[in-house]
Amino acid sequence: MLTFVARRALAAVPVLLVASFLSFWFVRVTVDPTAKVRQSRDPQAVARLRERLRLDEPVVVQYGVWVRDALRGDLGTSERTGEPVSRMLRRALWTTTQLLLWGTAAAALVAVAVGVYSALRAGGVADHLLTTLAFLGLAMPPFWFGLLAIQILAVDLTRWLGLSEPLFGFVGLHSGDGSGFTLDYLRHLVLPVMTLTVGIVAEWSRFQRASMVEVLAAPYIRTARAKGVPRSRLVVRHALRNALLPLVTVMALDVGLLFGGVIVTEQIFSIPGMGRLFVESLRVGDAPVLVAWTVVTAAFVIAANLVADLAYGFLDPRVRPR
Amino acid sequence: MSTGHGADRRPGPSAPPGRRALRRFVRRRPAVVALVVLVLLAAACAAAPWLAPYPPNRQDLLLGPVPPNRSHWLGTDELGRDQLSRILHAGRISLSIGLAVGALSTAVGTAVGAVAGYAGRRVDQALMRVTDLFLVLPGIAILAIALERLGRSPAVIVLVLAGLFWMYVARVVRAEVLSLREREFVEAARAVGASGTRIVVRHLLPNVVGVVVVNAALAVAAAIIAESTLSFLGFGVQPPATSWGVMLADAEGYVATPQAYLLYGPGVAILLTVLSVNFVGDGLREVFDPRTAPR
Amino acid sequence: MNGPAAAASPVLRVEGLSVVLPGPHGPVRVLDGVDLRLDAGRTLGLVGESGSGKTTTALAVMGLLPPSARRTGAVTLGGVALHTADERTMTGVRGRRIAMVFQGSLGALNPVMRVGDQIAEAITVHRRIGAAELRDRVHELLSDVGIPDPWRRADQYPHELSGGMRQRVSIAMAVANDPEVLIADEATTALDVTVQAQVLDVLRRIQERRATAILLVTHDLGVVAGLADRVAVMYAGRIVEEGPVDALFARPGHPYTAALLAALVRLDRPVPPGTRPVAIPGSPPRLDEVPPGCAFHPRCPLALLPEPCGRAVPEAQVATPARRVACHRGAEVLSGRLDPLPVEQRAPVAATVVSTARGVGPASGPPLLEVEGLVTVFPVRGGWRRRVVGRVEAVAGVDLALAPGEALGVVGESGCGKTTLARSVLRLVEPTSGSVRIHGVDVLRAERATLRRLRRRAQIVFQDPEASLDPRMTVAAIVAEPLRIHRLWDADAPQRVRDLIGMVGLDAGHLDRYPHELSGGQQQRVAIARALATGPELLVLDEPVTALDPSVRAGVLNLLADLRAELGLGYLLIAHDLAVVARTCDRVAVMYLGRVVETGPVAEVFSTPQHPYTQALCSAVPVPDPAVERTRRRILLEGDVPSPLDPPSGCRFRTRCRRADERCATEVPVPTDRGGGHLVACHHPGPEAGWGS
Repeated sequence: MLTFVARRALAAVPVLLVASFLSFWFVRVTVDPTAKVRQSRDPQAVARLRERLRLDEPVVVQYGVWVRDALRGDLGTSERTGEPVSRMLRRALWTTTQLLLWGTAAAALVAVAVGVYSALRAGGVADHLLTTLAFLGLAMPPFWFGLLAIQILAVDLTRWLGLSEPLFGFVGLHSGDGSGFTLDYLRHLVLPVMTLTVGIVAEWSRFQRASMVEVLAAPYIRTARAKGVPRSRLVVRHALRNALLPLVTVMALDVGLLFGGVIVTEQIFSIPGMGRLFVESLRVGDAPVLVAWTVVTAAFVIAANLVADLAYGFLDPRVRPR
Repeated sequence: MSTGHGADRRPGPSAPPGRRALRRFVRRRPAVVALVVLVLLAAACAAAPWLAPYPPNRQDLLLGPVPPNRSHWLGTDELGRDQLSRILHAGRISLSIGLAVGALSTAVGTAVGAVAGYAGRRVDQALMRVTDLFLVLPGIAILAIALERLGRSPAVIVLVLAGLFWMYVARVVRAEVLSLREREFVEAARAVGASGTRIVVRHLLPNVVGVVVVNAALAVAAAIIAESTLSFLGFGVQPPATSWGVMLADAEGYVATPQAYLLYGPGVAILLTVLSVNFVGDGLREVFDPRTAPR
Repeated sequence: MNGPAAAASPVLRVEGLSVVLPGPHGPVRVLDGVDLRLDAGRTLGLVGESGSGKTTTALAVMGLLPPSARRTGAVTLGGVALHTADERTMTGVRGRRIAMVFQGSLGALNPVMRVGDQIAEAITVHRRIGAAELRDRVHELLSDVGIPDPWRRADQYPHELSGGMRQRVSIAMAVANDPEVLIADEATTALDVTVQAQVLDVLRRIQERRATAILLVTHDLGVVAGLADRVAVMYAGRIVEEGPVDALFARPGHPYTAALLAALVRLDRPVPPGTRPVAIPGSPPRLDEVPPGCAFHPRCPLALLPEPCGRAVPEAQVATPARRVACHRGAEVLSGRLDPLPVEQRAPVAATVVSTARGVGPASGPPLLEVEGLVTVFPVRGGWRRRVVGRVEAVAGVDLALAPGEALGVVGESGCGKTTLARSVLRLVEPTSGSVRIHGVDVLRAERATLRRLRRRAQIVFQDPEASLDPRMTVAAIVAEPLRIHRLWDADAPQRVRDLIGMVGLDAGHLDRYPHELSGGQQQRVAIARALATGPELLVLDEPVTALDPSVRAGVLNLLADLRAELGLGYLLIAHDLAVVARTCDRVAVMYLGRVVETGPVAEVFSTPQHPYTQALCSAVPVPDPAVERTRRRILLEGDVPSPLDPPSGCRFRTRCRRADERCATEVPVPTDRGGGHLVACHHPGPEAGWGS
């Protein structure tokens, strides 16, 4: 099993290299890294930077230099804030990871519950209602959902209940300078997590429902019933485990899309994570941050795919290595 | 099961596949309703110059923002512009972008998928590596960077969105072609002496039309949402042109103010459009799904 | 085993069982007044074709019908009324007092659960049991069903077991609680004959040891002959005939039963020259379009129309104390006053036809097809990168020759390479080495244009008729396609298409149809018409009737025989069913793991097989004669076919051969002529002692 994990991880390295190279190359050709220095009208400073980034050499060499520096922990300095990029990224990544973890966990939980419930009640009123909700979720631009959520759940509901402060926070992840895992934190998490996951909850629940319906019709379910397995055990032990398998693959694919959602969510709720960092850096053309950002994001997605791959191998004996 | 769910052996007059598909589509109520909604919406937007009660950009600073009323059904914004008129005009751009992205990404995806599925292992592997790579790249970021740097004309938006969507179609088409290729009727055609071109054109493509059409619908829906998201982040089409997304972005500042009504119009327009496209796509999926026995 | 039924007490009673399922055009009555009685420790065979309702009957007894089904009638198990029992009670009964074994597909077992756990579950859901005792019980069950090394097997997942093993596991699961009744629903259908023989043997032994009553649901009358005490025959949701197995086989009372029995070919008794089995016209009806009156009347040679057969549903008549026949003319047939298969239907094939069919031998003219040293190797890809991890020699050096107008059958079990051989001959897969010549033209080294010309002369018919027809083309377009491809489309072509359709027994009305609107038999006829369009001399028939219902098979086989006689075609017929080859072919080649082990005239090879594998294969085929089947000695092969990835050295059969010695492990046996063109590739050839008695 360990060699299997190692082999998969190793196989992800070339993908990571190519993907990060492409990201690097893309940002290099679209964002001029000397733009800021140029403003100082110091030709020597520009020349020094060009020399350091090897801008006159092929992109591959520039990439090599960047990777070498990156491996030493040096991702450059932000042109916007003058802060080391690595520190900015670490901070932002931590914030975003919280969002992603809570989001994925909540989405998976809700989607599986809804999917299984709908499948067991296929064709019933509840199923139709949940299906309609899922269609609405899929058709909703996530940012609009976020704005509506603020308006209705934070503003209107608070006013209606006559509360003095908003029921759910919608600026940042804590009020003021707060930190840590507190009730305040949870109240700030609700709306962003909802905004982030509205689309995938809808998609995953539809998927889980379809997969569950298919599994429930499988011959081995009939075999299990024929030997007298009671319904509850049938659903949990036989159907659910098999029905979860395909969802794992879909979840991995969607983590990439989730990063898009993070950008929007953090923008709406003023959360200082990767998304906000990206938008702010892009507005001013902060090349060092953008380069590092795209590469780190690609790596994150690849890592998520790897985890899904391993999870699948763990769950399905048919692809498990011996 | 031995209860006769097998192949359909219904005698009686047979209709060409297109007619049969249509008949089956019409039997899906939600899909038909959605199609009607979609057509009405598109027609209204197309006819905006004649239909809209006011010119979309006519300002009425004296009027300012008013909530929905009899002369302004959806109210006006800060500059006194009529929301309904703006939504109809913005729909032209949102829908065009959606359709164009759907068409372009479907064309590219179908071509790549068909070639990958039919041309053999080497080509297939190469193309699929590229496809997977595109799936790993942080799409929306690349998109935003590209728009920021290449300008924000609708053409660029379409190109970039299509560049990020084609992979999904390609994967589906490839899988379909791969499975069709193994079917015995393709082998039978080879045994009869059919050329590769004839097999692709006469036997494979007609049989993948189903998944292609379904995925095109999904791509249109996704493109409309993506365009609105880009606009919201500030990377959408530029004034005076406007889209539903741009309108929503403008309305962001009015959350928790008395002008929150500005949030609803464009949002509902997007919701209705995407919902309808999805329902139509779903109806088409069932029409083309071989498992829902053709009748 | 075959005592008077009245003496035993019924353990399972089904009375007036009817099931209605919702259909797209309204409710469909899939079962109509089914009565069954299964005595303790006995076996009842429930026989029918697809759509006859036999599986629905089994599921209805188990209470496993979909929730939308409406069931009426009574099901009583040992005095307990199951038809009124609630789901809770049924859950307690299922697997404990009545158990079921399903068709052995990979999907019948939970793919993510170890087989040991799945068997254990069958016990633990019904009673408390200690962990150690449970483990012992699971292993005992596994060895009971003949699984070697049960300790290791219990920890494996279903995909790690062969089809035969999985079916044994299913049986172990079903008998875990010593049920009074075991329902085996097509339990051996997906298996190879030698494996089927093993599994049937397991069922037989379990019944002897535990006195379990078995309801044997199958479409195969041969299987029934060996195992059942009584037989019930179903057609279109009704029981048409029921009685003791010997009496029913000896003298069928219903024309349908008679036709099914007549269509069977016995390997131990070759078809007399000049005769051929009767084919009943048409195919079984869809259950939402059951004809009025007797459902069988449109296909029945005895039907009295319009009255009574076309109007009144025949009631089950108790003809003799032990037999029931639901036929208006059943009494006449049973009393011997009426022959269920009238003479004109049983007429021998016209003399001229017979002489061409059987008379053209290898002697006349140069060979139509010559295959020499043919080898086809497939790379085996594994791992997530689909890298080549091994090679399978699917065809490992095959020599064959076929004279013009001759029919050569290739038989063997799944994985023996017979289908690859068929495709290699036509270069639908690219062979690795060797040569194939059609009329002296080298197929494997042919240029594109030559290959195209060859494709006019050699055609193929596939196993699955529905899959082999483009779903988006009409019948006319499908049959016309070869003509268009070979630029033979001229003013006469439309007439040619009509002629072809007529030649295969369809009419012009079918030309505008789409494949899914035809029955399986009709689809296969279209595929044959397409293959004949360019006027070929060689037809490769790859399992041409395997996907068809038994009552439809005879018609297609008769058509193939007629076409051969009329057009002087040469056939290379691939089949796993020896009977099909016995009926259709002049010569036969037996394949095992990519090699031909025995070849010769059909009658000779099947009556006096010389290779131990052929002997086992012939012995495994059930004989549709209860008296013979019960008493004959079987040669049961041990274990499964070795992996083609790593075939045994020397003789590939040696690992399962009782005659194998050291020489067999080192030396590949060469085919040697045992007289009359009967070639055997074995170091120790010769008839099996006691075989054929």
